[in-house]
Amino acid sequence: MIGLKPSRGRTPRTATLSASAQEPAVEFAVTKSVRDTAQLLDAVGLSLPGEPAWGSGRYVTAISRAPRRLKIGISTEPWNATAVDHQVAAAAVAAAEMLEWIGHSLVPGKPRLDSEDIVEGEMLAIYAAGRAMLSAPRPVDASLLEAVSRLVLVEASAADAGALHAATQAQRRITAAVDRFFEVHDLLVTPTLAQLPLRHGTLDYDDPEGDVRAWLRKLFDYGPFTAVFNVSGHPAISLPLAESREGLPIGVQLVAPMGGEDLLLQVAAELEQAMPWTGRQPSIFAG
Amino acid sequence: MLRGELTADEIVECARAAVESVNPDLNALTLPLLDEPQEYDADGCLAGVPLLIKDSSPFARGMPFSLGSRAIRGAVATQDHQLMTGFRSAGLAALGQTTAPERALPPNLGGTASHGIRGRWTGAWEGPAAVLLHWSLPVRSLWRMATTVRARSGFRPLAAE
Repeated sequence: MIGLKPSRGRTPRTATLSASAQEPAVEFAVTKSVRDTAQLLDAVGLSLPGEPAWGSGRYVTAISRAPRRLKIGISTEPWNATAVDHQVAAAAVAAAEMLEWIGHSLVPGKPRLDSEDIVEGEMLAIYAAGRAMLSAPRPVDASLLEAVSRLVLVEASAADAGALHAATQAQRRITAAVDRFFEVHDLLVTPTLAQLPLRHGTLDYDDPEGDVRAWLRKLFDYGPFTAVFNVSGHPAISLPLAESREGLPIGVQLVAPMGGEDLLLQVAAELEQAMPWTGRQPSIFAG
Repeated sequence: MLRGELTADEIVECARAAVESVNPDLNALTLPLLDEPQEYDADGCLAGVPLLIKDSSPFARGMPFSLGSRAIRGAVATQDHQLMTGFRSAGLAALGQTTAPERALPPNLGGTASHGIRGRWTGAWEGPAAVLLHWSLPVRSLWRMATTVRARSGFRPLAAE
């Protein structure tokens, strides 16, 4: 299953916070092929500010061509201290090596940034969710919320302009760090998650222990690679390129410069062709 | 199908049969599938391609929603989110709704309020992923990247309670 997270602003968003706060949430859809993703983005994608308007079929056309030779960064080390499962890391390395075999050049490296800025940047999503609850047409009955949602409500109620400013500044630092990385790289390859898929209930949302930031850090132990780009707003795609010995799906993430979905989809299409996933089927399956 | 030709109605019925055959194992739907797909543009580039909408976004006119929360009961979207308007114009045929974790904030289902999703490949994604993974048709269901902490905001203008 392919998940494209388009550039911030590529798909319509609903703003809860002030205009200057860029909420991490992005809306799109999951698909089974790169072509479907390209076609859907052609259908609903918007032009980013400063970007020229283009005719129909930009992304579908893009994936019919091979990209130029790219300088691709690869990292399997997250920004926090979490350990990466060795099968997960191996899948990202194998994808990167495939891209090298295809003809791109590979360099170890990732954006340099502070992992606490990721947590603080994600607080924008917390404030937005909390404010949406606070401004709902009917008062939210907090007793019906799960424990972390109750904490979200408390955080959002207490958040003043200073808290919002701090989160926005953290987000800007993350975005700038990723922009700097893409001044000298065309693309980044990382694992999608740090671990194999967890059993449901492992990340207990109804656990009242700790505060919202502690809960966010727990999430980042599981998914440190995706959170960065949720905050930064850069386009990223997860491709189902591997399967664990236990038969669990392993994703590999590609990240591109802001607005670079065409490049992202071109490389995704190269990997789809070189490392096809259509033959893998889960045990519960309707064909 | 052997002729390589299918009508949109045949695809929808095929999708219905496939989803209904795996949902008892997955429990990935919030509601039974719609009797008819929601309105879509029959001239769109993806005309008739089945779509399952996640119970967190985008809001689709006429579709009930709870944002995966016990705190929201009986709400129905009275208008489309702008992205849903785009999906309709593209021709996507919304056929049902998949589960979401509360307010789309956690990356996985399984809390006390959420639907008890099942299936072998769970944990990273939610209802939409479960259906898509376990289904051979090119259905698109709403998605955000794993671990995305999602801001939900559309509830206020859209709720009809």
